[in-house]
This record gives sequence, structure tokens and C-alpha cells, in this order.
Amino acid sequence: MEQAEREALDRYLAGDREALAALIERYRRPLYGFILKMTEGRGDADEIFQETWARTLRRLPGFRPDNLLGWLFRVARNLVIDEARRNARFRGLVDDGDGSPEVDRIPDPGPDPARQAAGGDLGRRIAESVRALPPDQREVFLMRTEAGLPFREIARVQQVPLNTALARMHYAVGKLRAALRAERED
Amino acid sequence: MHCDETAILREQSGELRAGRRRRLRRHLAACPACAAYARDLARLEAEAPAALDIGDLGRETAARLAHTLPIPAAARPRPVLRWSPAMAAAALVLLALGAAQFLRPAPDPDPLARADPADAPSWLELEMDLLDLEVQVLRGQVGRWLPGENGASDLDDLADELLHWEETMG
Ligand SMILES: [Zn+2]
Repeated sequence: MEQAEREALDRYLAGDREALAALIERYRRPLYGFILKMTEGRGDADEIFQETWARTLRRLPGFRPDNLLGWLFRVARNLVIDEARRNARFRGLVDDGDGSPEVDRIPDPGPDPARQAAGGDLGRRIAESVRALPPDQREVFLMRTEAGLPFREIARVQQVPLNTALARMHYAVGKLRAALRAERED
Repeated sequence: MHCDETAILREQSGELRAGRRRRLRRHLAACPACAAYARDLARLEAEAPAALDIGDLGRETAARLAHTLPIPAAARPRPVLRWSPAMAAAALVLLALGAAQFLRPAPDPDPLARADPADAPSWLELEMDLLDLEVQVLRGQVGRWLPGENGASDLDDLADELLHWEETMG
């Protein structure tokens, strides 16, 4: 954990609300962005974002993760998966018997609100390509490029071997290179 | 070295060791395909943050959250321990014994089974901390924990975590 992050956590634990506000805002873009892009406009991003922080803070007095953002991603990811399962079950799309992750089979629910913020042609192509990635690959790509997490930490978040996380990024990069090729051809 | 794009990924994330990095550099100089991959990866890493930026989305939620989440009432008074080298060594042995006991709970039938990290302790992290501590002791740095030095907090933290998890695990 970075020195500044450690200090902010210490100040929060000593009762400093401003330190907490600064931490939440510091991680808003990568974390809220991750939740938003993984829930794909199903509308629960606010709730998951809040619950992620609430759960993380509950653990903090006795537990200090060595990578706070990585820990937040772990909590958020599990909440996103739970939410997707509930959603799918609610819509009767999955039978809830086998307990395997069903996120991959959830149909595209509509436009991604985050896309509105995306910039020019290449930016728009990248945003669209990322949105089209399978969830596991999208997660890795977002954690790597938006949050700057090392693959070692990403593998921990996804609870997979390092090579699996690397392979997912490799597939994602392969698909996104098409966006770069399209730009060159323009 | 043959083509290995995952090495390029790890180089980009700063996770490649020096020897491997030197070999990768040589390979990139000789392999146009990998060189193009590295260039595209760098471009994607550079463009993605702006392309995926959410702007002000979530800002209100974040601000509201910062004012509604519970704040620790006051700094929890920590027991002040006066460490001597003997106590530090004894504590380490106790910690190691204790850790050996609950660091290896019944093996998870499915290692990929998804557990809520907010509720499940991270055994690996604690194990790494202990290992780190043992290495420090082996290096003769027990003096770090002598009275009057704030280095004592390492052991305090670890003891706290063990106690907390012991409580959590019942
Ligand atoms: Zn090559």
C-alpha cells in the first residue's frame, strides 16, 4: 500500500471523516467505473459502490489489506456477480441449481451510461470493444488500464492463477487491437 | 526466446524480472510481430483511461457515502507493549505456532469457490506477513522491536490480526 493511502487510512481510523472522503473520491473513477461497466446499466451501480465501501470499512480496524484498491475490487466483483445472479434468476433466465457463475450468459441490458463520457473516434471504439468483451476479460482489462493493478493482484481479485489473468488480458488486447487497426485504416 | 505476449504484458505492468526483461528486449528487437504487439499495448494503455473515463458519474454518491459511513468513534487505544528481544522471539514462536494452527484450516473442497472476501480472512496475506517477519528476524533485525522504537507496531498489527481472525473464525 502506498504511504499516502496508509496515512489516509490511519487518519480515518482515528476518526477523520475528511480522510475517508478523500479516499472514496480518490478511488471513485476506477472503482465506480468498474462497477458501472460490469453491471452494464442494470442500475445497481450506486448500491454496489456503497456496499463495497461499507463492507470494506467494517473489516478495516482489524485488517489492513496490502492493496486497498485490490481489496475494494474483490468485494465489488463479488457483489456484481451476486447481483447478476439475482437479476438473472428474477428474469427466469438461469436455473439456479448448479451455482456456477452465470454472468457470461446474461444478455446485454442496454446502453452503458459510462459511454457518454468517452471521447473521439478511437476512444469510442475502445469503449465499445471493452463493452463487448466477455466479463472475465473486461474485468482484467479495466483493473489493469483504469486502476493500474498489477496482474498478481488482478489474479487475486479473480481468484485464478496468474497465467489465467494474463491469458484473459491477452485475449482482451487481441480484440481491442482491432479498434486500433480500424483507426489506422480511416 | 520465442514469442510470449504474456511477457510483454508483465513487462508493461512492471512485473517482469531483470533477466527476463533483458531477454524480452532482445526478442522485441528481432521480432516485428511482438514489437507491434508491444506498441499496440502501449497505445491501448495510454488511450483506455480517457476512453473509459466516467467523468463525474458517481461523484454525488461518493460524497453522500463519505458523510453516511460510520466513522470510528475514537482511536482505539492500543495496548502499549514494551518489547525486549526475548519477548519478541517468544511472541514470534507463539505467533508461528498459532498461525500454523489456523493458517491451514480444512482444505477448501473447491479452491476456486467464490467466497466473500469481506467475510473471509486472507490466509495467504497473513502467511506472507509471517514469512516476512521470520525473514526479518533471521536477518538479525530483532532490534527493531526494542522499547522506544515504533517498529513494535509490526508485531502489534500481526497480533491484532490473529486475534481478530480467531474471533471471527470462532
Ligand atoms: Zn515474437
